[in-house]
Amino acid sequence: MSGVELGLAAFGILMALLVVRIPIGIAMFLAAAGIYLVLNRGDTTSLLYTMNNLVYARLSNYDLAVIPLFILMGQFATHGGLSKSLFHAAGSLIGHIRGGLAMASTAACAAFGAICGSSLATAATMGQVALPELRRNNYSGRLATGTLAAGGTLGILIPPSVPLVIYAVLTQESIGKLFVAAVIPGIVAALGYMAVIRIIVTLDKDAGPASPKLPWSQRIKAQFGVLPVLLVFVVVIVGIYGGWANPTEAASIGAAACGLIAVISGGMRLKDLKQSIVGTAIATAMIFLVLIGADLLNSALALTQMPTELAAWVKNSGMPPLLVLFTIIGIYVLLGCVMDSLAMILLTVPIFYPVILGLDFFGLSAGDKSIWFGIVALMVVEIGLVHPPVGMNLYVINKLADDVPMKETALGVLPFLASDLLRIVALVFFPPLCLWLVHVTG
Amino acid sequence: MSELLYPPAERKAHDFAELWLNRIAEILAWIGGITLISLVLMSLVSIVSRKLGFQPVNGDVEIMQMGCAVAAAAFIPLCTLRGDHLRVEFFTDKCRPALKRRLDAIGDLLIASVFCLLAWRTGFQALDGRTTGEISALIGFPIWIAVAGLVPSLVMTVLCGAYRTWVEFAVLQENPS
Repeated sequence: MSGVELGLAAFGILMALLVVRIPIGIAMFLAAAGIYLVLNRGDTTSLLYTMNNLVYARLSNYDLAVIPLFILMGQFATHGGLSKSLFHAAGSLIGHIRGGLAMASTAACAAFGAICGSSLATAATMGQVALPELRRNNYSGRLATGTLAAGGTLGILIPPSVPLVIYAVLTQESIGKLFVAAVIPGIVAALGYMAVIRIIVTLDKDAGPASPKLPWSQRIKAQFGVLPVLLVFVVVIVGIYGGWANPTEAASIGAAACGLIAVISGGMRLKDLKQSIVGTAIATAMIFLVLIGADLLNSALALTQMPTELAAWVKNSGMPPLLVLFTIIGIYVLLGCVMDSLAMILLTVPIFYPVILGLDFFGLSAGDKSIWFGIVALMVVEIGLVHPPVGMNLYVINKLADDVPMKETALGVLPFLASDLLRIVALVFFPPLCLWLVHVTG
Repeated sequence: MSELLYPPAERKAHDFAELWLNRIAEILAWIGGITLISLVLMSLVSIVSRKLGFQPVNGDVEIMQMGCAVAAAAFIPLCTLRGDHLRVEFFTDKCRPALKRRLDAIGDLLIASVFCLLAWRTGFQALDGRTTGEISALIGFPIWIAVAGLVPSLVMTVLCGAYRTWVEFAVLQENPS
């Protein structure tokens, strides 16, 4: 059996294991172990030797340490009542225009996403605050739930972003550069969602009625609630990119700052601290089990040389690069129907990344291509969170709004999905969207 | 996402084991959480003193690496006991509960087996490291101690996976359909 055949067979086995509900990390581990055994004709020595340091090496990776730290930071932000002040700040500014409160929810999601690296946490936290307000102001269930399900994805689109950290570790790319590259596409995403809301309320005047205008004194006062969030974001992102803190240190500062804010303003008690720790534990363990499995799988695939041979084959086949890229995007959309975004990144980036780097896109340099593909991949895996059948955000939001049927939520998110697809196309054909800020600040 | 393994009425028979496993898994998660928060504070002290022109904490990077490894491993048993590991549910969503439970029993058995291997090999690595006496570069801390710090969590994961397998099969026997 050639290396490529072996790699493909391992993938087939992996997929079969996933179908029958084997945990993703364990399925990756088993597929990888199979490759080792076949390559060594049943001799277990090299597999066992590789396993010696597998767990410690992965868990003690300095860059991956930012993941539990960012999760802890997001947990503190969730329990610290920051979501409420963000929503009120945005709502007091634009709530009086039609659809304004929905736009304010999007803005608040974007701001919350700036201190939280997880999409589900953003959707759940902002949903708890914004959904009752939207419903109280007679927003339609479809618009309210669609807005928040889509808005939740801003949690990973706007840095810090856990999938980007993983992409950075897999490809040895700079976390700081990737975070900076994600800023403008993230803002474009938020603006795109607001434009969608604007169109919806223009077409259906009852979907999002305007609420009364507040006096300026109150509106200005509400803005002070945003300051701590802004501060944390600037410290983390500028700290990383400005080079005076590495990502792990910046994440520590962010976690400490969010913890402090939660204690001071949100009145975080021992009970909330306990919830934060358990939440951090579960989310971290989920990610690290997949990381351990993916680590062994990637070493095994490298032994088969399947990724390099596949990349060479695609390069020599003369296929137009954009066709290859759109095929990859199509695969992501399909995988997104059944799989979690992190697992998708871990599974596919080691294979697709060399393929992309081997092709020529608009004459981009290798470094630029690597950042650009990271942002494209992030955008594509993120839409898996909102498109049926298993868009997790849909479930999270729908659970919070008991009077809205699931079908309404799924329909409500469709217009936002259209804006996602438009943005992905724009990013593919216009890489400066993400690269410009990197070049200007670098 | 975390669902009860079986309805509360069936719970009684296995309560004692689960009570203790849950207690230990939670204690481990707390140890991990407190380690993580201590690392945050250590990092903070280090960076602030560096900015103010003092000496940063000596070996802050390696302390973070070793501490984070121990903390992350300590989180795994609780996640395993609660059955929260990521899996693809799409294809089996419409299947009978008994079939899903059977598949999950196999999944949990595989978790236990894989972690059994990992605990063995990691323990071996720790012993090996003790003989070779490898120490961290700046503070000279023996790395084998950090590696050995993972082993209790890995062993606990084996127990949690095995316990779930046992309960799932027990429930299936009482309630085969």
